Amino acid sequence: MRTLILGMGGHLGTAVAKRLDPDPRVEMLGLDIEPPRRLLHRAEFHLVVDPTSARAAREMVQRIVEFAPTEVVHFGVYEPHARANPHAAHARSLAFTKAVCDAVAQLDTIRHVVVRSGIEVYGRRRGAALSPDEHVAPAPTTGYGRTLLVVEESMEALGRAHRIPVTRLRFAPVAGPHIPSPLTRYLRLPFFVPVGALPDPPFSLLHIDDAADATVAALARRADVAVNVVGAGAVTAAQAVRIGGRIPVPTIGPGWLLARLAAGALGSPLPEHVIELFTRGRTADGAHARDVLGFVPAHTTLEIVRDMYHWPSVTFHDIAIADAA
Amino acid sequence: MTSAGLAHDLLAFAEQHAAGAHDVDPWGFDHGMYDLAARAGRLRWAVRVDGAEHVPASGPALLVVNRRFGFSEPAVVAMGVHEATGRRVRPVGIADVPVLGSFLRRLGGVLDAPAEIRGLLRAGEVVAVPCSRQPLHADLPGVLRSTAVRAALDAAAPVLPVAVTGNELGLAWRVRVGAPVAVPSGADLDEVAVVLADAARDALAALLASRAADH
Repeated sequence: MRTLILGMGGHLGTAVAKRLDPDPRVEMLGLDIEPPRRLLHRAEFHLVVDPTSARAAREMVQRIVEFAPTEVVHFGVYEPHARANPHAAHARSLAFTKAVCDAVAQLDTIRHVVVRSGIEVYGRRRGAALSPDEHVAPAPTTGYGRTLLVVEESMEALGRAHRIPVTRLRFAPVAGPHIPSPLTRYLRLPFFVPVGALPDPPFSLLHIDDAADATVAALARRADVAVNVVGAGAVTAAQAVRIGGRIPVPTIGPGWLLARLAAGALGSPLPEHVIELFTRGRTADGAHARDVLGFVPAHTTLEIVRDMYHWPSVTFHDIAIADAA
Repeated sequence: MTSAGLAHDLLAFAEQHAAGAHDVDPWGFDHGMYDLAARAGRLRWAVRVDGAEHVPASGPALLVVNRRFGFSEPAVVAMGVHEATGRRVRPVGIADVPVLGSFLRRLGGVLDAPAEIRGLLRAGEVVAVPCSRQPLHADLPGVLRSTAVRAALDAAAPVLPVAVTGNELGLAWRVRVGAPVAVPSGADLDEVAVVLADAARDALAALLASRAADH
């Protein structure tokens, strides 16, 4: 099994690679803008400094074609204000998607594609179901949701053209220790946290370990389907903030502009899809994952929120380069 | 329930929410807020329920409910069935508007959207779907769309007619739950849903007619 992991340098990509690493039948190639965060024995990694440049695109396609993968895991999808600003996140997501499409057009080795998407694709228009299942047509209402849908549809079209099953994993917002998530970063702001006034709608989360396990399950099943993967239960923003011992500040309309400025000044920029989560809610029906992937997330949303306030902070150490080498 | 008891419950509710120790489900239902509202509702309304044994003790069920103006019926059915069976009912048909819509979601209401009904039934909930309003003919059921019935078929949920009678300005309401409607046979589930919706509406009409005869 020759597995290409786009986005191997992210926490999720690394977590999936770690799960595949012990299998002696697996060879992996990783591409990302950052190196993997763990030692991997069966992975070759190619750093892509600027995936939006023409040269990097050519190199990525060449690397992929040389590697001739049998499985593709596309995690090269970037959330705004997680590791990049919204414009860069969108451009990088599309660049990695185009590289996969260009490479697959030259290969006949690929048997299965797994692509990371999100429940943001459903959007939260007035009258839209708060907890949509996979029968609901995607209609994103934020930039991130639109990016996810473009990536998802590109891979779906690729699969149709080349008769390759494509599993589209629509994750709830992924959370876990050290993960750069604008949502969890914001909820952990000190003292006062602006949240939706009325409404204070519910949202669901997915633990990173569950997201990685779902991906491994998807690789095993090879289903050509879109599936929601969501931690059980839900919380509201005010409830989460109180669990964390902070004080929720009910916010409406223009108040979000001030909240955005204040959060940005405190190092926690607030993208529009997170504001939408606070004002319109974001959950989805994940029951289908049990049938399609044979998988049920181990962590509930409430457990993730409770753990979130006990995650250790990143500690920086001054180490001389000679010592590190 | 006295007003002093209600004040005590209100205090306990406020403490629980201040600590974030309450439960909210993915459709926004806050059990604590519902219990408090139901207790307040019992100060206002007296609901008598017949045929509660038809509501399954566990698992999904679709209640097909008549309504006149539609203001009190969802709350009356939810309160009455919960009190008689212990099952919490999810009334369908709230408006997706700020403040009011959110508040009604907290009390268990959901949108009239097929995905919401499908998800709730799949999760084993009791869902109350209303027929269209009949302000001038309280003893006739209105029109029932088949989309909710199709969701019940997919979830293998029984479809129960529920007749509600009462006066918006009065104190006493009566709720009569009928036996599950027999599911017709057929290969095309959409067609089966249409026939089943008609059968459910007929069963509800019969229930309302028998109530009228009782009076």
